[in-house]
Amino acid sequence: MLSPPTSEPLMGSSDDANIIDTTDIDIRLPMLVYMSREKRPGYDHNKKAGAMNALVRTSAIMSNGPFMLNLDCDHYIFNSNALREAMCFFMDRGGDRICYVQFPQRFEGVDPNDRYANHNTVFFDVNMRALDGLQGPVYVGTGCVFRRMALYGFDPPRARDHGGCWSFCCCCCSREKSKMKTLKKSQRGAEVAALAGGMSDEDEDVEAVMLPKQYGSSVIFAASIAVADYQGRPLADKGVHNGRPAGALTVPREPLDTSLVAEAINVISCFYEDKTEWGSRVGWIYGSVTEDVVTGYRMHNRGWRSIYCVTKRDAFRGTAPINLTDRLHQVCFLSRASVSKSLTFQHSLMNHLVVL
Amino acid sequence: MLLFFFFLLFFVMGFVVAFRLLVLIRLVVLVLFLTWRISHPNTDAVWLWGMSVVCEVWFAFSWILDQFPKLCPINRSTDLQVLKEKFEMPTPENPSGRSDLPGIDVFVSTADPEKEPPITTANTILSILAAEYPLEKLCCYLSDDGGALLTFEALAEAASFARVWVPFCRKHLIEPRNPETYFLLRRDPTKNKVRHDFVKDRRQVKREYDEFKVRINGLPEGIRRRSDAYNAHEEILAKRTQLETGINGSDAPKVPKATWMADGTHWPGTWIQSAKEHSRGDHAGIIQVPLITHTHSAVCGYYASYVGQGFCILPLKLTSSEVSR
Repeated sequence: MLSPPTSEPLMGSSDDANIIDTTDIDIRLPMLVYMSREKRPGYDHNKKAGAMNALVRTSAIMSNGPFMLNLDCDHYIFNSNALREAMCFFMDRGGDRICYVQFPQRFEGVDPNDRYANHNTVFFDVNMRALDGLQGPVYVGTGCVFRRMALYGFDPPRARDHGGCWSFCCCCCSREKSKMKTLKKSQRGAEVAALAGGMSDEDEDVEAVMLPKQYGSSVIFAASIAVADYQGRPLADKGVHNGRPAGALTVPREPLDTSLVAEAINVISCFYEDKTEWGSRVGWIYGSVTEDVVTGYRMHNRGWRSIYCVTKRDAFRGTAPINLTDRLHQVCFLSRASVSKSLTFQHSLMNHLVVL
Repeated sequence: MLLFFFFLLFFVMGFVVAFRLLVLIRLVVLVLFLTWRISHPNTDAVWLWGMSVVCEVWFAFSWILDQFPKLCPINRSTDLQVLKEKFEMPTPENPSGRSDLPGIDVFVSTADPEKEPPITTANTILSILAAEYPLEKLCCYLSDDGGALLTFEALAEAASFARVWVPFCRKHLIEPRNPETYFLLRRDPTKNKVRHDFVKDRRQVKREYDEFKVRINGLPEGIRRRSDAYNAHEEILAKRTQLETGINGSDAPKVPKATWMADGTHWPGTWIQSAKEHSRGDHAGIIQVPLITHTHSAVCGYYASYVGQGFCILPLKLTSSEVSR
């Protein structure tokens, strides 16, 4: 039997066996998991987006944290309080409508004059801050804390409420879209209602039919969605809609057992995503050079808001390309990606016009 | 004169208002200019005039697209103390004062131990494990798209080093909690440190970290040697059975050049000499949990493999001593 860390602090001692004296220091460690998804010839693995989706499913089964931080392996946590900073926004009043909190990408190892503009100052200190005043910054692929429900493709709570000009625009957009996809929309609405509690028989039927189609066949995964939704809410208080009661998350986690790990293996098999909405509506979106930006756009499209959090002490840091060749490769990749993005945008615009 | 006027604006009204005013003025000038341009066609060279109208309208349009999203920039700040008071202090609903914060899963993705050295990944993992968050709510996942044994063993090494590094960070409030960066910092390490045993602890942990780095550097060679030894052993066994059964003595028996784990089983992921079902694009799904309890008990893991058409889960057990050696 494997069990997650106990909920009571475990203090160390000053034994000679220990390398340092850990009296009165909590010596427990968080859970650490190594995962490598199954790969077989003949399947499209969708590179990093595919790996991220596999991680989303595994973690839903093994720990089901309602929030997820995504880091590249060459970035690290520079400010140990960064996770709490993100939580300040999510747990604030109205925080249940935030889909992600993006932190700026900062680099070290850049030459003092920054000859090749590795810091991207204009982008990270001007553009992103300005976008934050609108609906929120774009997702740039690393150093971003997500809400699990937003990645699962749900609409934000109170998406239809009229709260100012911007949400009015969103409502207009969603109404326009719902003209085209009336069927899909109503089913999803029913499902959200079912998950939020108060399930009627009809809703239950709809859910039973729709869930495997969207998220795959895993029953444990389907059950974890409602839990993640509940745990991700802010505390109930004056002026907070659908909050959770205080003290609801102080109970320790269920220990992991073999059947859970077996299920986690099942959801990273290469055929799990067949005939599901993973990669199209759910999770990281496939089929783009920069899957990250598209993933962020999709959430904004549904009416979620995102936050740009610049901390006094950098939250995360990475190593930057120092020589010119690497930098040129990077810029070349980025511009190729942005061209392809604008092309797909025009493509979808044409589609919309044709439909209208 | 104009410059002076704008500096004055900046000081009096603040940056954003001055910026908006500037954009507004430029917009008015732009509109005036464009109306002048269009209302005064040059009859001598109409094509030149037409081209400049098209270009100027296009530049004006792209300038507007560029400026308008920037009109209301935002600065945010957080108050961690309020978060702590609300979620981690004893209240009537939460008498124990245990953390009421929601869980966070941290995802790190790596693909190739050649391009992304294991020591960098290990440092990232260590900085996450040492993060300031209720640790029963924190969970770190490493996705290794290459399925390399090297990455897994580096992770297991990092897990065992974390037992020293993380308490050290908590005890002395170390920043940053990435050992590589911390030990290379140029500033005075004793600044703001008051505990008497800091210098002693730092020396010990530095030594441990250097040994950890050397162990990581030795991993590729260690895995290769171990695999060669196991493979040679397998070959001898195969030869012996061939002799005993006495069939086809001339041909050397075929033994796959496998990659072996420390506990004497095949690694289910990618092998050094890639074989069928053990190459980068063709391997089983693996989940291993090197760090789960606070005790120094067994490191347990599971991986899936295909047997015929069925799907079975093979539990495997490595003790932590085997992993860390």
